[in-house]
Amino acid sequence: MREIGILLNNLKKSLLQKSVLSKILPIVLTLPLYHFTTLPLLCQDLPGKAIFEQKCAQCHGVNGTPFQQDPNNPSEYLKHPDGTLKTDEKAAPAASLVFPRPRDFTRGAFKVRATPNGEIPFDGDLVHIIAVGMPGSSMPSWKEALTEHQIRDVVAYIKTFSDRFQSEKPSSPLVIGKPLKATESSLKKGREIFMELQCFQCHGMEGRADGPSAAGLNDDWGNPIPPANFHKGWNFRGGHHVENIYRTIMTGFNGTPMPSYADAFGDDKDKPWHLANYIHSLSADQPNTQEVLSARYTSDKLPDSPDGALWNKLDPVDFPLSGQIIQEPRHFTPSIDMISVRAAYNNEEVALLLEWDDPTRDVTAPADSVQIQIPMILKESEKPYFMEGDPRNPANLWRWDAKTDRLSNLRSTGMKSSKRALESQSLFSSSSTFSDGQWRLLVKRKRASEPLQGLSLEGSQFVPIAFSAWDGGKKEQDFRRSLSTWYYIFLEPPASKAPYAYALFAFFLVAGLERRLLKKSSKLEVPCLAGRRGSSKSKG
Amino acid sequence: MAGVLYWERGPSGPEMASQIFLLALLTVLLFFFARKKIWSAYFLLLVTLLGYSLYLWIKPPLPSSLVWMYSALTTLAAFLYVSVNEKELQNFKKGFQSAVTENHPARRILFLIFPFWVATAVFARTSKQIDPPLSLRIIHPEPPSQIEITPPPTGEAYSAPRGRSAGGGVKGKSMDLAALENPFRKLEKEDPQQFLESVLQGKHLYYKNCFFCHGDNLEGKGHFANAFNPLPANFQDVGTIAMLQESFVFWRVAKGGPGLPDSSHPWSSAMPQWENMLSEDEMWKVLLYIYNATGHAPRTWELASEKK
Repeated sequence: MREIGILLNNLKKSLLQKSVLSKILPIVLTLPLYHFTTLPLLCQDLPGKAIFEQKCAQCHGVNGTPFQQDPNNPSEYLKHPDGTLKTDEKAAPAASLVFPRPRDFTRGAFKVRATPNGEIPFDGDLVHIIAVGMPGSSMPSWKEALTEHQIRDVVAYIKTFSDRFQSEKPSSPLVIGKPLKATESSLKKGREIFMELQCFQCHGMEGRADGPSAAGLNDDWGNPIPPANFHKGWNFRGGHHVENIYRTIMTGFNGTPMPSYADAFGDDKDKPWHLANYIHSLSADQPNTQEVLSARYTSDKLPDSPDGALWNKLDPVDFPLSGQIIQEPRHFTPSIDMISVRAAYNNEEVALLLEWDDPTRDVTAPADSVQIQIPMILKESEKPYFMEGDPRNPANLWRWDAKTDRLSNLRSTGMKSSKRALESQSLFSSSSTFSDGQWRLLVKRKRASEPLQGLSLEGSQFVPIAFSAWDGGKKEQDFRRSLSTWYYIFLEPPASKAPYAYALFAFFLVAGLERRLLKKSSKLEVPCLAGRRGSSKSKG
Repeated sequence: MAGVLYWERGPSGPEMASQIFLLALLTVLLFFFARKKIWSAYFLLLVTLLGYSLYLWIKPPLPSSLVWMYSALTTLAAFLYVSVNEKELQNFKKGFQSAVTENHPARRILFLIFPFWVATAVFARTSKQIDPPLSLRIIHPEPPSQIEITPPPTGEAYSAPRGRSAGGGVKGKSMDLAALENPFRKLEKEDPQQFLESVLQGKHLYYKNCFFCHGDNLEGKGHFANAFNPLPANFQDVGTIAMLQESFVFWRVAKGGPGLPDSSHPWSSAMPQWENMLSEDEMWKVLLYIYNATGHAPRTWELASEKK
């Protein structure tokens, strides 16, 4: 029975996702929640306590804080030499391994709210965030695991961690209202407001979280916190719909350097919507993840730089990356979470355009680096181990670093094995650019290759491919990296006109047959039907 | 949900067009059958239409091959129903006949759509992209009868960097997998307090090592999960730890992806070889926690013999 329930639930979900409603419904449904103000605070032993300790405490701490209080001064926290707070390993075991750090509830400061800047949230705000989670962080959505009733219990318990919930009351909620249509002129005005309010100081000129003050940002606790990258809508903490962005602009994120801009717009009710529309226009709702990276055939010369016109004709495929947490030393808080790749080929070469966001250009050691990995030998039923191969199936690594701005061609039998350098001078060429928080790297490799240098890349073949990336600015090198498991690169056969001919032929063939049938039936219509009726009657 | 392929390519443009044309065709046919009041055949067409749209548009969270099979079977059953006797069959035929021969405006629509459907279907078929090699992997492979566990070089887990090479000097401990039991499980009856303490320690270890992929709620949706293919195991699902013996899960944890046989594609699994990072006791405590937190009980030999 339980499974049927899950099935029905999922069915409902998939129906919802398809419909336009899915965009409006979450907002419509959560708006009334904002109007609930405070639940009664009865006693310390609330029913939410058990749920909190079971589901939430591992990150947020048994006492509502992931950090260690100073035994001499309970209102202060213990700090590492670099100014970041020491996490409480016993009360919040996961806190030190996630980034950004989990929220400390003892100050009553919450990011995603409908209340004015600096105020405590409504209960509905907290219920909402527990239900949908904090995208881009390690806070998951709890709506599948907990009932609404349970979530409300947890909220009531969370509120006991800060006295502010007893001494303060939230004032009027933000009314979101109807979004302004995202016309060309609205987006243009939005960009002007973006410049005027200096959003680029943190979020960067192109919104890639690379502004001049981005690197030094700390939250109210003194822990580093990154600004949002406006291109990755799926990571927006408060949600990626334009209404969500509007709310963030108007109420700010308490406890973070993101202020409320409600006072910056004067009486102009449209201005925040222009800005929200502009930010929304930069962002994609979902990454374009695919199992296969298709390389398009061209008979022309492949571009020599990442700015070649060909690249605009191809859709990038996004490959999500995770921290390297498989072999020691493990890296739990990677900087680069995705790499976008386009591919093309001609008769001589294959070209890959790699793009990834990195707030700083680091050309001294440890330098920004990236690595493409394919098998050394192509086998039908086996691949090398996805982390730089194994002794039985070595991997071929094309490693680029910003310091030399060159590719090295390596043969590897594992993460810990020493790499053997293969010939690369005549086989590879590369060209890179860095601007506004984004690396763009063009890699070209000759298709034909000696067996000892790597695979010959033939058409219509699925070649396993995997990626690694390092952000030098975050001291990433060697094992401290982001990586993916295996995907495929496929050299698409040149586009053929034959399917059009087949389709046209089929169309006329069927149309011709129909014409004959029509002619025949117009002659036979009456007698045929009459005859049938007559025969069935006689049978009856 | 286990069994659902993570990568599902949506229909291409031409495929979508041919599907829409086919649905339109069936709808016009429905109209003819309804007009002639041939209800049994009407029913057949309706079932076909429903099954088809279930497959194409609604997409319940089941493997598409299964949905396809169910739809085909119901259509077949409905066909048997309409052709159960001569009269019904004649009726059914008549419906089609009227659609083809009757001079009704709807027939023009039917005759117009039909060539378009055939042409788009032919185009979709001939211009079809080649799909990547299917990776059929055995999810729960046969475990070896014996495993040898090499403990990590130092006693404390998750502290200093270390690895297999550093622990090379330590002699491995040989274990008989069939007789292997979780040494902490008997505490459940003998010393419940101590048992809960072990579960809690397991929880701490889980959140220091596992939750990044297997998730806060143990459903395989950790914040790193989407970078991996295959996806991390979902412990809430009845098809994973609930149907396995604890010794099997221990083997999977200790030996990780690299310890899988070739039929399970050891080269793609991101599961670490935990014997390099956790002690034997620590791994057992993590198992206590994942069973405890999901409410599943490990499968045991007793249970297997009771079934017989």
